[in-house]
Amino acid sequence: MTIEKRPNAIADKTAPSQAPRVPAVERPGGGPKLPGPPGGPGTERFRLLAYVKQESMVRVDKRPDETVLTWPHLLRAEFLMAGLISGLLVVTSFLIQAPLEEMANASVTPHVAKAPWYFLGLQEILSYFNATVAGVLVPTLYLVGLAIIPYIDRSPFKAARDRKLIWIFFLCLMVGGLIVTFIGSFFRGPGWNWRWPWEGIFFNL
Amino acid sequence: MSFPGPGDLYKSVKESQIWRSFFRQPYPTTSRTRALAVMNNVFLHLHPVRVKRHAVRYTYTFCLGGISFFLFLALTVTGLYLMFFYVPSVSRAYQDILSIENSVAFGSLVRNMHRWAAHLMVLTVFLHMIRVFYHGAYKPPREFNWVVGVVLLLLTLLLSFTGYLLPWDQIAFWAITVGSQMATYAPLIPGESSIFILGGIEVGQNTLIRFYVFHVIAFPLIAAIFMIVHFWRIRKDGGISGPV
Repeated sequence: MTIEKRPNAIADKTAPSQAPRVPAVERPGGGPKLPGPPGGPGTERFRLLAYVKQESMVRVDKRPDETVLTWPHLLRAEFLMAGLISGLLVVTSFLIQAPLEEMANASVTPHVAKAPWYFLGLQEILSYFNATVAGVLVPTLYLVGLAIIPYIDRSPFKAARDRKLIWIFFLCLMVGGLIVTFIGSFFRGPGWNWRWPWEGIFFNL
Repeated sequence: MSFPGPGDLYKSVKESQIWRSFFRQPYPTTSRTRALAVMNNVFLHLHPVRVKRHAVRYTYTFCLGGISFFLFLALTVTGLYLMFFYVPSVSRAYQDILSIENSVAFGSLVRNMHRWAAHLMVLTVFLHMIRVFYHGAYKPPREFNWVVGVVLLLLTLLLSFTGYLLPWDQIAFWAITVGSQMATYAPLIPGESSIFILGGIEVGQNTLIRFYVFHVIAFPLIAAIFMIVHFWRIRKDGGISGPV
């Protein structure tokens, strides 16, 4: 289907200026005056532009914008936090001295040699299993277990009750790790023997 | 007759060619200039112009990822300062730590900051992971970014572990001896794992230089690359995840 070119299109364009001047209509709230309908008040004609059905693709009740500007909202939070952490770090460093013992000596074995605190869970496991299990198998499976969480839990639900299985799995990793790390840190003394914290703590940061 | 006041000076500085070549626009006060400020700045444009309203609530993220990144930057700066006064040699390392503590300007403070920031970073990275799990933020399309995060956790531990040896005192020596004994059973090359990690059968000069190089260059660089991917993917995956 083709649209015919209207021969009087140009004439149409000029038409409004030739129409008789229309008396201006007073708007209720004041403001600029708008031209009224050509036939005077009460002769307005309306054109249906669109008929929007409820539950259609076009959302009539559009919800307000759920975003905020990065500057200043996010940046303010970031600078505040950076300042807070810097302050905390400087104050802590003034108050607490980093540990330093005598110079390293391979021939002087300490009462108990402990790994850095985040590996003390592994060292604790080392006292139950052999080295291949504790030193290689457990840390590898731990990290791989963490990494494959998104591929185990493939449901789209986020609430805890809708993903119980993965919550149990994750809590096992976290709580299990916390318990063995805690025992290795505060309950192990010379010879990796059980030592209650009130009998002396063998722990370095 | 009037003399130029401080206001005129302020105005002439702000309107000078030098000032305007540094700052392309005045201090942003409108939505448009605030958007431009984020877009036009190389550091700020890591962020989108607008973020979700819940994302800026402290209790949503507790800023844990941001704090981890900030600690990484703080560790880079303090570590750089410490490098000026430290030689990774078995005969010098411990003496250098003593002189950092006693005679270097701000040496003791900077070493303490480096140490405590390192421990804190291990903690915040773990807590960040727990927060992300709690919100189910590893779900599609964010699965890969979770994996990148696990790699960053491992890198954080490796950075901390390699740095632990550098003071070359009894704590460092025996912690690394025990820590790497566990890893020497890795079936990398049968029977050769200890040589691979320590550069010998026990912790010595080869271990020190090996750990030093990994600590100051290799691991920070690898971690930085993974961080770039991590941050990039946050934006490409549609920004921070929604509430549970």
